[in-house]
Amino acid sequence: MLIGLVPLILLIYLSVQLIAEQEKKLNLLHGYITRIHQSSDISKLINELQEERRFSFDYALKGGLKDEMLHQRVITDSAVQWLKNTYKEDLSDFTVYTFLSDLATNRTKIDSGNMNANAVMHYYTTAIFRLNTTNAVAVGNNAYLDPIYKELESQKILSEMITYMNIIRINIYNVLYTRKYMVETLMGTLGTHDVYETYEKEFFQKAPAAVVNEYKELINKTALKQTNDYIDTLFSTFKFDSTYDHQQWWDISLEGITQLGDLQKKILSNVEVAINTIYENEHKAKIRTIILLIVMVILGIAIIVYTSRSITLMLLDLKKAAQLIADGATGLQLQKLSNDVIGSLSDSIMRIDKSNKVLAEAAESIGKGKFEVHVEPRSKDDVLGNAIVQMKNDLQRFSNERKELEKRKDMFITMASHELKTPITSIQGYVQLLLKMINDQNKKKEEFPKPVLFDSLTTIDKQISKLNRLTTELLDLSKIEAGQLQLNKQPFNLNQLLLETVSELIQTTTTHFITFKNGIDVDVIGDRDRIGQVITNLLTNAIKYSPGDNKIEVSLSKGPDGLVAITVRDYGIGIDKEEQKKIFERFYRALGKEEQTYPGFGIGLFIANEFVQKHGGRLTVESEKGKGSEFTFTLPVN
Amino acid sequence: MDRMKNEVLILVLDDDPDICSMLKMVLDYHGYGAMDAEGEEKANRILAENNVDLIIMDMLLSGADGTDICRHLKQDERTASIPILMFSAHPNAQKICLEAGADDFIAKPFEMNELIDKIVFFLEGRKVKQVQ
Repeated sequence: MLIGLVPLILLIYLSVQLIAEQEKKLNLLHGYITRIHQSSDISKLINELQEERRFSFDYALKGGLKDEMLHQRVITDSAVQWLKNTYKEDLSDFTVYTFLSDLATNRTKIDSGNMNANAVMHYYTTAIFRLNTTNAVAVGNNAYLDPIYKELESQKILSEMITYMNIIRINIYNVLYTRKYMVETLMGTLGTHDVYETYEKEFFQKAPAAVVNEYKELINKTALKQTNDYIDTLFSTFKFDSTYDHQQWWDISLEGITQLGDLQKKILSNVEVAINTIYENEHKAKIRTIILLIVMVILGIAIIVYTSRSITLMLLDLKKAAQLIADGATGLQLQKLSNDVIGSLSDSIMRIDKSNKVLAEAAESIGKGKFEVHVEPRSKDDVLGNAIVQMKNDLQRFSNERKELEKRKDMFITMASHELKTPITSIQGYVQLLLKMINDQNKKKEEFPKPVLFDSLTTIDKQISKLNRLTTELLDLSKIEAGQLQLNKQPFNLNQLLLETVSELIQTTTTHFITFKNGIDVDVIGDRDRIGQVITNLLTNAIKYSPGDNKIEVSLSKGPDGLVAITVRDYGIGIDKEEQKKIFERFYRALGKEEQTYPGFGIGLFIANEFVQKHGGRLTVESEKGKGSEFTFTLPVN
Repeated sequence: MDRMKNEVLILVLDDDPDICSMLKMVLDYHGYGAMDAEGEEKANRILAENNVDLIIMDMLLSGADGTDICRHLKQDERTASIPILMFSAHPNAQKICLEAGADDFIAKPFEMNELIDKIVFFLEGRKVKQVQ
């Protein structure tokens, strides 16, 4: 904001300088105009003094023309007074320089006869000479006076010429009037005439052609020609002829000099017009400059105000946007700003907002379980982006695990319903059939077929055992999940238990051939029923998952660290490495052909593993897909 | 009545041998001819070789989904007209079975009378069809 003021201040400074310069120029021009007016007024005074000189000289010499003299003094005084009033300041030393300060004193001397005619002539002539020297308007060296330079120069030379011509004229008048010292006076005046002619040559060189022509007309036709001719003759012959008496010379030479003065006045008048024109133009230029300056300053202030206002507005917008981002909002609307720093800042904020929006939308999608959404962290430093990616991965894994568990639970319910209700269906079918048969038999008095009765009851018995086993498994699962599994630990012979269990299984299967390698005779302390369940579970699994090969091997051997190891080996479908990690989990079920499942709850191995671990042993599996499995569990020896 | 019943052949499709035995015994006692199969392969063989009037099957079979077998049978023009009665212990089984194309459903465990009533219903329908 403040920086914006610097060019404005510079502009004002330069404009003020320009105006000052123009003011100076105007003052100078004004000075010239004043000097021209002054010059005209001084010329008038010179004329009046010349008249007073003539009357005073005559009075001092002969005591005549007193009335004319006194009358002329009043006119002279009024001309002096006019000068004093008009040019007060400029004329401070003027009266001293021109000896006008002595005028009153000398007049008194003349009146009392204490000043002789020569002294009178000398005083007035000197005063007029001094006045003449002040009369020219100085040329100076100003470029803007170029158009009138020649006029100024020529009027100055003309002024010098008038001064010297006056001296010559007065000298000649004196001689004609007194008829004394004729040759001496003439010799003294010759030098003055040389100076006059030098000035005249300079005038011809420097004056404008029009002025020169006018001058030439003057010296060829008028009283000036008569004056010059008389002077030229005088200086060529050194003799005063009778062409003019003193009065005639005074008049004719006065007319000649007046013509020169008129020419000077005319030139000055032209100069005044020209200077006035220049002055007016300069004055107009000054007004234009001031108007331009005001317009520029207003414009400058307007630009600064507008710029700072729009910057402020832009910054306010950015501040609001940043605040919204800080508050966690997304989807900001920021119009595209300038291409400067603010524009770049605005772009950055929009980029932040855009990626926030992308991340927020991604987080929302992830929250709704749409894990296919793509999240790309902006950089390795993008904490938020990386956190969302991490969150997505964790949630996806969690969701997959949950879905997997849900699926397993659904499958468990399906399988539990099937597994539990199938034996009941069997039992119910047989029981209702038997009831119907008894009923029918009573009506028809027929023999009750014994094989039917036997088969039915055998199947019912088997199904009840199966139901009992399934119920026990479910209760065990429920106890394990509730953390209430309790073991009834007692010493028992492991070998004996294995023999019994294998024998039971052999009776139930018609498809598989089970061998038991009786390695060692060992007693362990544990829950005999639970261990029995583990062995039964491993054996039924072995039968279930080896439909193609009927060989199953059971062995009991001494393991390391005082443990015994019970191994159940089959040559069935086997389990691949990935599946091996899951088979001890709840509700996990081996997948069969075409993704179909094998019957069972999917909790057998989970329970078996829990039982073994509760006894301080470990249940492990070694298996290869398609080549069968070997389950081994260890137990501490008594 | 008995003569007509003996002409009837019912296919029992279940992977549980005890269910198969039980159903065969029940059907036999009620005078219906019955054959059993534990999987699709054997079922197709029986269907190709015999004039089966009704199929009673479990929705859940090891190694295959009963509903798939049901669909296959209903898509095959040779077996499409044979009524299929499916049973299952699954809580949502009825909807699944009927969607798979089964003609009727019975929940496990089932009353024998209910089963026989349903069989009679289907066979009466067949008789009507034959008369027409």
